[in-house]
This record gives sequence, structure tokens and C-alpha cells, in this order.
Amino acid sequence: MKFLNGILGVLDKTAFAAVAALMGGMGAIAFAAVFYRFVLLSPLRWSEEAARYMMVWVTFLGAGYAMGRGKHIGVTLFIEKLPEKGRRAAIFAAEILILIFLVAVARQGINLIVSLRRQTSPAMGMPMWIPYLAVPAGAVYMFLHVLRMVLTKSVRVLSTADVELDEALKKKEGIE
Amino acid sequence: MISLMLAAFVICFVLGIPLALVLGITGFSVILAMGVPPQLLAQRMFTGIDSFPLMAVPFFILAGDLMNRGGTTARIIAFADSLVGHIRGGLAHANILGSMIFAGISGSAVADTSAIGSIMIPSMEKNGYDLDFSAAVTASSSVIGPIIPPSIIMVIYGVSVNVSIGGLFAAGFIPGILLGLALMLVVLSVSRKRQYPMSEGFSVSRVLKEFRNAAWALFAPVIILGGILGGIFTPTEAAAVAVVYSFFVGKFVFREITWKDLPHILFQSGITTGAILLIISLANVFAWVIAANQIPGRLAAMFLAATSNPYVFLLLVNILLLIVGMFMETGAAIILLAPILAPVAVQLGIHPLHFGFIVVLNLAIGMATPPVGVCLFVACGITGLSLERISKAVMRFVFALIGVLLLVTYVAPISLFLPRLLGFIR
Repeated sequence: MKFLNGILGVLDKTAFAAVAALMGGMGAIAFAAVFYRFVLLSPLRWSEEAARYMMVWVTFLGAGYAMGRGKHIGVTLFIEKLPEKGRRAAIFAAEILILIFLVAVARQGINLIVSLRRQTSPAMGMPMWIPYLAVPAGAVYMFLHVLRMVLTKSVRVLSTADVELDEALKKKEGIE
Repeated sequence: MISLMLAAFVICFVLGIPLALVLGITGFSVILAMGVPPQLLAQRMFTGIDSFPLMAVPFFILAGDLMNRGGTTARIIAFADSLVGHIRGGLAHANILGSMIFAGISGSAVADTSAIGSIMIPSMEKNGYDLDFSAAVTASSSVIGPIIPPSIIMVIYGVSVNVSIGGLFAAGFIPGILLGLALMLVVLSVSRKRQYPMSEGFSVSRVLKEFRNAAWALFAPVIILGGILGGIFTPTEAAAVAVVYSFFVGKFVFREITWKDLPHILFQSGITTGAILLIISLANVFAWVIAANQIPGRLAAMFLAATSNPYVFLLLVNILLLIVGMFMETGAAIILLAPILAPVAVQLGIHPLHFGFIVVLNLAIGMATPPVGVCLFVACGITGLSLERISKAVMRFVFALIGVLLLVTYVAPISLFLPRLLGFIR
């Protein structure tokens, strides 16, 4: 358990740095592409592809982090109506289902990388395993977060009505 | 196969599993049952988000956040107040007009509620407005956020149904203004009855002063709207320009963003992006499964057997979506329902852009409709009022919004005029 907490601590820190850097990089590259196209009149060839692959990584790292904080969008209406005991059982069942699914995603993601190992991207000539690795990596990251919830017998509902909601409410508290 | 799909979906849904994973688990269990190569799962997850048009979503989220923290909101509100503050119920009108201007920068209703609400609600309270009224005005006017372009949910619709995002943006412009006017009418009638205050009178010099103050902020919608609607930029390009522009203004003109804030702002937008795009990623698995089982076709046949009248169909769709929008997050509802409903609409001869806009507007109204309206939750957070109180106060505004929805549904030119003029429809 201590070990798992340690790993997740490192992963969350890494994800923070990586997501911030990739978001900034995406913005900078996409803006540079506009500048080259409209001002210098010589469009960049690699920019769109690079930004797309960065977005794929942002998605899976961001999704992994969001999993640990219960920030994925879902409908929690039914489960919140359940009595304490039933709710605990339902959350446990949900967590197990999710764990099984994430193992499948990781496995199929790795299979896909193995079968594509010689492919390179059209514009940059980048090996395709680099962008595709985001899928199994994100699955493992989410898996570890859910595993921790199972082990700590967390009773937290797994999703939220809206991702921006908590952030919006938090900002308000900061103002007061 | 269909019963397996339904069972998996309903079980996961009721257990409160995040919607992205509900779609993934349902899709993958059908893939296994059909005996197709399971690698398809990872393949579809990747290709679902490996899309340049979709990149407008993270960029508009980021640009909105940068603009908001950069001190834009207060300046926009001051400018709006100088224009409409002299009408009875002035601050409420300024709240609505502020939302409309803010909508030209941000593409999200929740961002709109929290940005405008945290400034406007306290100042309305100080001036003698009822708290539940202020909260209701703020929440309902936020619906305009994703209607006046740019709009995150329109990008999601455009990507999942494959219609022109620029065209949807153009379609939203006039109805967005109508929504604002409809809300202002409600405000006017309530304010007369309750004798809400107004400011001293209209003054051109004040308008000019506030305009100069807010000019940097007001120029952002000009770049975004002008660029996209003028056909210069794609939505993604405009969004990238908006990110850099809003950072520049917040950092070097208004000087309210520090270098230390930047990683946090980037990261927060990244998390929101991750949660939304994971749904799109796994919905792409689900989409393969429903297409392989010819579900859209069968549903279309069912609908067509029930009615071949496009007006009846649109009414049914509106009722369905209003109900769904009450319970489900907007983007998620679009990803789930739009690819199923849009083909039916096209068969009935409804223009794809018109239909797309109806879906977006309808679900956007759901954000301010109880019991699950995220804008209401934010308004509760700001005011400390209970959901019941705000729900009661918001209903008259919701009826005004629904009135505009019906008008736009049955008078197609309101939404299609601008796309046609700008060449998005040939």
C-alpha cells in the first residue's frame, strides 16, 4: 500500500509536469503554424501531426490524473440514492469492472504497438509506438488509481456531473 | 447482440461508472461477443482523438481560463453596465449582456457562470436585488456561453457527426442574441414589479471610457469570430490564436497572470481536456459497435414508421433532449445521441446544420435546468442558496429560453441565414 502510494505520488507529479508542458507546447506549435502559414507564407509540414500526438498524450495522462480525483463525467444520480451498504457494494462492483476493462485496454494497446512496430508517422517519420504508447500508459495509470481506491475501501463516488464544476466552485472559495 | 449491449450499458450506467468507461466496457464486451480482433479497442481509442479539428476543445478551454484569470471579466462587465445599466434592473441586464460578450471569448457555460457570477452576484446583492433572482439570471444567461461562438460543445458535435464546425458557429450567432433579448425581457418585467434599481442614466462619455478600458478584452471576440466566420481561420487555428492572445493580454497588458500561475492553468485545462476527450476516445469504440450492428439504421426506420413529418420529429427530439439534458452532461449527451439522431434528421430533409444547432441549444438549456444543471450548481456555490430556491427562481428564465428554442426549431432561417450568407452552406 505504501509502495502503491509512492508510485502514484511520483506518477501524479510527472503527469502534472508533462500535461502542463504538452498543453503549452501544443498551443505554441499550433500558433507557430498559423504564423508560418499567414505571415511567412510557408506552412509547416510537421506541426499538425506533432500537436495531434501531444493531444493524445494529454488526454490519457489527464484522464489518469482525473481518475484519481473522481473527476470523470458520469451520472451519479442513482448511486447517491442508495443506502450506505448498497452504495458501498455498488462502488466496489464498479471498481472491479473498471479494473478488468483497463487491463484489457492495456493489453490490446500493447498488442497494437507490437503489430505496428515498424510503422512511422507520415510527416515527421516518428516511430508510431510513441503516440500509441499513450493508450496503454494511460490505462495503467488509471488502473493504479482505481486499485488504490479498492484497497483503501474508498466510498467516494467515481464520477462527477461536470469536470469544470469543482474547479469553478473552488475558484469562488478562493475569492472570498 | 443488442440485448447484451443494452444490459452492459444499463448496468455500468446505474453503478455510477464514468460515462467514458461505460461506453468502453459496453463497446468492448460487444467486440468480444462478435469475435472481431480485440485490438480494435486500442485502435479506435487512438483514432477517436487523433484529430486536428478536435484540438479546438483544449484550446478554447485554455483560452477561456487565461482570459478569466487575466482580469478580463471585470472590464467586460463594467463595459456592459455602461451600455444597459440605465434600464430598470440595470445590473441584471448588464449581467446578461456581459454573458453575451464573454460568450464570444469562452465556449463554456460553466466558465461563464463562475466568472460573471462571482463578480456580479455580490454587487447585485449590495444593490438590493433578491439573491435567488441574481443567481437565476446568472445561471440562465450562461446558456448563451456555448451558443454565441466559440463553443466547445459545437466542436464536439461537429467532430462526432462530421458537420462544419464553422457553420455551427455561424448558426449560433443570431439565436444567441435572441436568447439574450428574451432573458432581458423577463428581467424587465420582474424588475418593474419589484422596483429593482437602475443607474443614473446613459452617458456616452462613460461608454467610451469603459470601452477603452476593456478594448483589449473586446478585441478577443473580434479575432475569434472574425477569423472563423470570415473563413480566414479554421476553428482550431482561431483557438490557438486566442490562447496566445489571451495569454499576452493577461500577462503583459493587464499584468494579472504570473509565470508561477501558468503551469497550474495549463495543467487544469489539461485535466478538463483529458476527461472530455476520454469520452470521445471510447465513444469511438462504441460508435464502431453500433454501426456494425446497424443500430442507427434500425432506429431511423423506427422513427420513420412513427412519423415522417419533420416537425413532429423535431418536437419529439426536443422533448427527448430536454429530458436527457436534465440528467446528463452536455458534451457526453452529444457524443452519445447525436450520431444516432442526426442521420434520421437528414433522411427527413432537415438541414444538418439546423439540426445540429437545435441539439446544441437544447442541451445547453439543460445546463440551467433542474435537477442536474451544472450552472445552477455553480450558482448555488456562489450564493450559498439551496438548489430548490434557485430552481424555483430560474424556471421563468428557462421558459423564455425554451420559447427561443421552439422559435429556432420551427423557423430554420434564424439559424441558417448567417451560415448561408458566409458560404458555409452551398
